[in-house]
Formats: sequence, structure tokens, C-alpha cells
Amino acid sequence: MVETLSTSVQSEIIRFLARSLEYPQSTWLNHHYLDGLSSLLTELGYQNDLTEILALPADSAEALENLQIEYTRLFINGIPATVAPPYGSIYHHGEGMLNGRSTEKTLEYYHSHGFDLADPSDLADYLPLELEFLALLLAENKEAEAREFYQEYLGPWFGAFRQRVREGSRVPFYRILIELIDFFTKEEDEYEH
Amino acid sequence: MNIKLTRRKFLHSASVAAASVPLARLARAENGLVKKPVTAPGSYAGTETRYGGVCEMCFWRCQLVGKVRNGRLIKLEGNPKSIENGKSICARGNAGIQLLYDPDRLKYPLKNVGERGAPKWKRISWEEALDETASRLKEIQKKYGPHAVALFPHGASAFYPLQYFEFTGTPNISEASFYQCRGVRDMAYMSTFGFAPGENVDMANAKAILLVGTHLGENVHVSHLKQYLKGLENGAKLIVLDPRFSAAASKAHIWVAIKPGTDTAFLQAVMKRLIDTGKYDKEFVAKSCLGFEELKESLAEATPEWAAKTCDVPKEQILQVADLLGANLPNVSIHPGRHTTWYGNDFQRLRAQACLTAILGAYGVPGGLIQPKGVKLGKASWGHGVFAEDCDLSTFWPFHPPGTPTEAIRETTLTGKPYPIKAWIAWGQNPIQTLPNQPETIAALKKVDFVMVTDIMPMDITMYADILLPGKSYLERYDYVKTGMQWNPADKPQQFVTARMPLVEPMFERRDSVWIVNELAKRMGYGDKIPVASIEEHVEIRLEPAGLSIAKLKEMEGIFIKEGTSPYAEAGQRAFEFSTDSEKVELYSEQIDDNEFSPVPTYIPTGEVPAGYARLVYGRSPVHSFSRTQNNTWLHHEMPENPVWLNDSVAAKQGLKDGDRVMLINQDGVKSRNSTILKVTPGIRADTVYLAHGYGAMNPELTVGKGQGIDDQGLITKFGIDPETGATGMRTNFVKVVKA
Repeated sequence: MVETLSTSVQSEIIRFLARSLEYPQSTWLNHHYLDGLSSLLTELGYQNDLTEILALPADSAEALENLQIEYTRLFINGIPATVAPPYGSIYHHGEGMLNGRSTEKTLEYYHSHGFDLADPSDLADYLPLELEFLALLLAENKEAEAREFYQEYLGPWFGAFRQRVREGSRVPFYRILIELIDFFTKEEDEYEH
Repeated sequence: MNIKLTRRKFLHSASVAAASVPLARLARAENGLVKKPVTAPGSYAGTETRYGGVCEMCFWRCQLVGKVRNGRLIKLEGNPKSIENGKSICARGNAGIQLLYDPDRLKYPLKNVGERGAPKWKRISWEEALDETASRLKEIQKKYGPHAVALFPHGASAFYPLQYFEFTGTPNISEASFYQCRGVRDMAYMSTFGFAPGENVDMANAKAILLVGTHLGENVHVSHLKQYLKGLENGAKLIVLDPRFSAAASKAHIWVAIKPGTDTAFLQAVMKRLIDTGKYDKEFVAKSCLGFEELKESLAEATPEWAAKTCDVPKEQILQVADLLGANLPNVSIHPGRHTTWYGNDFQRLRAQACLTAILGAYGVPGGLIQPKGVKLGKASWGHGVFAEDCDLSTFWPFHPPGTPTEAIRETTLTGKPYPIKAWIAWGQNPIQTLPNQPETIAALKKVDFVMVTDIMPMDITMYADILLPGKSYLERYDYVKTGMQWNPADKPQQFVTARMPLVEPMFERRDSVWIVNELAKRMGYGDKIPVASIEEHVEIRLEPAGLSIAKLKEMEGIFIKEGTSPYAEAGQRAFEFSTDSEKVELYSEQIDDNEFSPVPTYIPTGEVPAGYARLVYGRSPVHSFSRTQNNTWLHHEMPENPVWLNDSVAAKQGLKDGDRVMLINQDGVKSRNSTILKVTPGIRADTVYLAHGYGAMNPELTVGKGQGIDDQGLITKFGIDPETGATGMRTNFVKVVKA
């Protein structure tokens, strides 16, 4: 029972983090969202940058715009280069392109577990989608599959992506998000017992 | 950030379970993934062949099929049904996949919240991008008149925007494909033959082929090369005029290592020799040409001795070329060339090529200049624009190709005279690399009130946009309808129609130009004038007169083929009607005379090379289409830099060796931004330096192409303006090669 509860909590948190990686818009990046994030960080015993994150007032247009500019630079089209496009095939096996072989394999994996893209023009290895998939597996209590998906799909590229965000982000928001994603998705030794 | 807990411990704590309840509500309501029946892993079944692709990695537009699996384009091939390129496509054609999936591509509308040239991008919605663009343009039109908006379009996707902006009343539209490429050729042949020649010379069935600087093999267009190689295979004699031992020169029977800028003198001497020896097509000249006596008279001084000295080639070679052409008339291909804006005296050279074609009678015969016939297509258009009085800057150049000479627009933008130009729009064109004198282009871009750019990729020009819009690539959209004939004119006559149709769905928020223009038009007060609701409707209207539709073409595997007519005249026919004023080929042109230009082809010298320098000549790479493909990983891998060709004796004097890293400095002291590799060779004249165009991008967003090789355009600070056409002559700069 405790196990089931913990995977469903993990699933909810991952879904929350997946949303956090979408383009910042006032529709979701509001006080409720920031309260949720702050309570999560508090539970984790994490204090350092909390004020910095919460200094992203949900009702300041300027703060929101700054975050949008940073998002564009990090993940869409940046100068001098997009820091960390959030798509697996950029990192996998030196493919360096969107919709590569590994993207297709990711889609095949979704298919083999009874899922498909809601919008066929989406890329299967878009990080929020991979997180959503992981959350779906956990919600169904499929821990072994979740572990397999992490090991074979998300894990192999997430490290390189995380490194780029860690080094390239100019705001703490994305650095912290990436650490949270890492914490809630990575394999733990303890996991194996 | 350092989390001391383990996840397991954390997730087990009851307070977290409570805390996660609100988190669940904060996650995205709609799902990116949906349930579907399980498919067994490892089955890659269902690779689908999709028809209707038309390539646009260059502008030859080969017909394609796409192999698509799981919505992903995995391979491009020539459409086996094609009667042009057939199953073949070139390296660039294959690499279209890399363009499609290039992570550097533009994905969403972007707004520049930084400065022009040093942009800071913010993703915005289409609504915001269109509202802002429309209101800025409307404001400028209202305050300064519609001609205060300038447009730099390029390619099939820019056709509809071009029509729209002209309709709103601006003549200030300039296409690089005309003013920095082939416009001067088209206008010279229009004045002579009454039609634009394209590259429609029947090389496949020629007995002799003359290439004036054309470097086929480095300039790759599939069906064009098939014609050229077929001709050579059939034993055609090849003559190449080029200061460099080009790919074509290496196959030539006669390579004329001509001094750059003197081709017109050479052609004049060849015409004189043909006339003097009676080796011209007397019947064609008598029945179909006008002004032969004036031409003959104008050539009095064009002796082989004079031309040999002028062109710095042996006199015997001039006679040999003339005699070879004369011996094979009328079955000779005098290739009209493609990029022909060289010195700013180019109209006269191309008139000379057209006149040479005519006196050889090389029209409408195997091997000659032909007019391929395609199928009649429909039209849907915004209609003609009405320009305010005296706002058309192009009238200064009576033989200008469509649009306005680029330099006139740039100068007017900079000076505000005779009126202000306040908005620049680039649509698929990269004026930073198409126009000479980059500092002036940049100054103009910084001066205007508003800059909007639509493109597929980040380019040097996109760095200057206020609003940057992401287009669909040629693999994701409908647009172009193409008609033509079989590649070998001697084969059974056929005609075809094909339409560009998407091979895959577009990703992100990329849009086609009909959609973008219509949305702008609605916001600019032209909503009731929109001629077509969508790009699909445009294509349907084009196809309709041929009895075709998109659905029918799909059933026909992308290409409709029917019986055609031969482009050859009936055997023995030597009298033709042309669309010139006189209905004859005008060797002498009264119309040109009336405009106070030389009415017979005349050699106008270009500036001499100063001591210590060499003339900068540029050309094409077979694996790139100018700056467009700089960032394509696959193509970049084939030719990452553009080697500088330098004559071996010059290199020895300067102590330079093959493989050295070098830079170029021009006559004005401008140094290339980057270095490249040196190619030392006897295969280039000592007074000439050569490199391929389209390298050395400035925009760091091009993560593959940035700073790779030398941008020749950065060194072209001096340029000529062709007085008849307003086209930009760009082989007018001189460089020194120095160690990097």
C-alpha cells in the first residue's frame, strides 16, 4: 500500500514537473503554481534559492517576460546557440538532429505500451512527453517498465541535457527544475533492493 | 541545489502525499499521450512512399518521393515517374532531411527584444506577431506611403507575398534571383530573341557546346547535367571560357583561360571570324534576323589580334573556337549561363551570346536554343498594384528585370531620397550575403523603423529582424506547380505537370506563406481582396485548366504525363516569328538605341587588376546552394570550407603552400572575417583568385555553418551597376592572399 502510494505521489510530482518545462505563460505560471513548487521544495528541506524562485512574482509582466526570453534562449532559438533543446535525439548517439532514429524508437516504445502521441506532429522524445509517459507508467504502478524506460530512453540523454542547462541557465528557476526532475526520475541504489 | 534525502524516503513521508494533491491539479490538464492498442515492439512495418515532393534545396525543382515511417521522413529519392530528373537526386536533394530536422531551424514566431544585429529572442504567439507586424506596416504606409515598404523575396514560397506587397502599392521589391543572378541574361535575350532563355539549350543533341564561365559539374542541376553529359557522350565538342580549370574545363576540347571581364571581346572576334569566313547560317540570318549589316559593321575592329591581346589568349585559339562552332552549325549550344551579373557591363556580353546563337542559326534545331512547351496552368493573383506617381525607382534602368534594382532600394533607404523607405521585409532571401557592400546593407537595416523576416533557418539577415516568422520547408507544404517536358528533347515528346505536396506534417508552429500573408492582409485592411483562402486552393486553381486536382495528382503518384510537342522546328524551317518589336531576332536593336545604349553588342572594359592583387571570382559548390545550406550537417561534412584557388607561380613568389590557412584582404583594406584553406594550382590564371560562394556565415545561431570558410560577399565592397538593367556586377574586387 505504501509502495503504491509512493509511486502515485512520484507520478503526480513528475507530471507537475513536466508542465513546468513548457513555455512560461500566465495561464499556468501563477500563484497556485508557485505555491505548489515552493511547498515541494520546502518538503525537500531545500531553502537556499527559495526566495529567488518565489521572487518570480506571478503578477509581474516583466518577470514573466524575462523568463520567456530565457526559455526561448535555452530551449527554442538562442544566441549564440540554443543552450539545450529539450529533445532526446539531439543528444542520443551524436544524432544531433530532431526526429532522429532514437525519436522513432521512443515512439515505438510508447506504442508497445499502449500509448500514442495525441498530436502526431509532436516529437516523442520531447522531455515533457517523456516525463508524462514515465508518470503514466508510475500511475499504473508499472515500476519495472518505468525503470526500463528511464534506463533505455530518458536516462541516456538526460544527463547531457541537465549539464547544459546547469551550465547555461542564467536564472535559478530552470537549474532547480532540472535538479528536481533528476531527483524524481533517476535510479537510486535503494530502488534496487 | 543539493537534496540530501533519498527519493524513497521522501516519497514515503505522509506529508508529501498530502502536498502532492495540489501538484496533481497544477499539472497539464490535456494529455500529450493518449491510449492506443499495444503494437508489438520491433515491428517497423508500414514504411510508406509519399508522392508529390518537389525539391527546393536549389531552384531546379527535381521531383521526389519520400519514404516515411512513423511520421518521420527517413529517405528522399527521385520520383521514378519523373521525365526530368528520374530516380536521381543530388547530394543536396538527399540532405533535405537534415534541413527538415535541423535543430537550429526556426520553430515559433520570435520577437527581438534586443537590438538589430544583436538579437535577444522571445517566443510570441502568431496572434501577437501578426498584430504587431500589421500595425507597424500600416502605420508606415499611412505616414510615408505604401512605397515606404521594401520587400526582398526569394523562391516559390515568396511568390504570394511578392504579389501582395506589390498590390498594396510598393514597387520596391527586389529578387536576388534577378538582380544578383540571372535577370540580366533574361533581359538581354528578351531584347534579342523576345524570350527569356532559361538554360534551355539542347546540349544533349549538340555537336558543339560553348560555356562562357558556366561551370557545370560544380553547378549541379540533375536534368541539366544529364543533358550536358549526354551531349559529351554523343561526342559533342566542348569549349569552355574560364580563367580557372573548372570541372567543365577539365572535360573541354578547348579550354580558353580567358582574362576575366573580356568575354564580350572574345565573342565579338568569334562572330567576326564566322562572318568573314562565311561560316554562319545565311538562311536563318536572312529570314529571321534583323540588323545583320549593323552587327557586321560593328565588328570591323574585332580582329583576332585585338581580341587575343584584350583577352590574353592565343590568337589561334580564337580562330579554332570560331571554326569549330562554324563547322557544326546550327547544332551548337551557346549556353546562356545562369549567374551572369559579373562586371556591371553584362547586358552587352549576354547580347553578344544571343547574337552568336542567332548567326549560327542555333535556334529550334537539335543542339540549339529551344523553347520547351509545358501544359497551360491557371492563375490566382492579388492583381496589379497601383504605384504613386514618381515612386518607381526602376525606371532609370529601361531594361530592368521585374522589380526594382536592389542598390536603388538600399540607397534610397539610406539617403531618404527621393522619399523615405521605412520598412524592410525579407522573405526567404538573405540580403546580407546576396548584396555587395555589407556595411551599407547593415546600415540600411538599422536605419529603418521596422524589419520583418520570414525564413526556414536562422540566417545572417534574421539577426536584424524585429519580428521573425518560421516558414514551412518545401517538404512540409504545398506551393509550387511545375510543368515542362522530358529531359532529352530528342526523345518522344512528353509534357508533365507536378505540384509540390507535403511529404510530412509540419512541426512546431511553422506556417506557409499564403496563410501568413492572408492573416496580415486581414489586419492591414485588405481582407476583402484576398484571392485564395489557402495554399491548397491556390494549387487547385493552378491545376484546374490541365483537368487536374491535388487528389488526382496524388493518385498519379505525383506527376501527370501526357503527349507533348517537339521543341524542334520542322526540318528546313528557317523563318520564325519572335516576340520582339520587329518579330525578328534583333542583332541590332532599335529599342536599345532609343534608350541611348549600344544597339549592337559592344565590349566595355572593366577595371584592371592593380599590381599585387588578383581579381576575386566566385562560383558554386556542387554540395551547397549558396548560403542556404551552410548549416546542413551532411553537406557541411562534404565540403566544410571553401578553398581559395591561387596560381602556383604566384603562391611560390609569396611563399604560400597548398594547405596553408589563409585570409583575403581586398583593395579597400577589408579583411575576410574568417580564414580558409589554400589550394595552390596551375589551374587558375595568375591574375585571378577563386572561391565558392555561400560560406562564412556571421549568425552564431547557425551552429554548424557559422564562421566556416570565407564569405566572398564580405569582400565585395566595390560593385558595378549594369546601366541597361540595374543588375549588380560583383566580380569587380581585387584581393591579396595572406597567411592566417
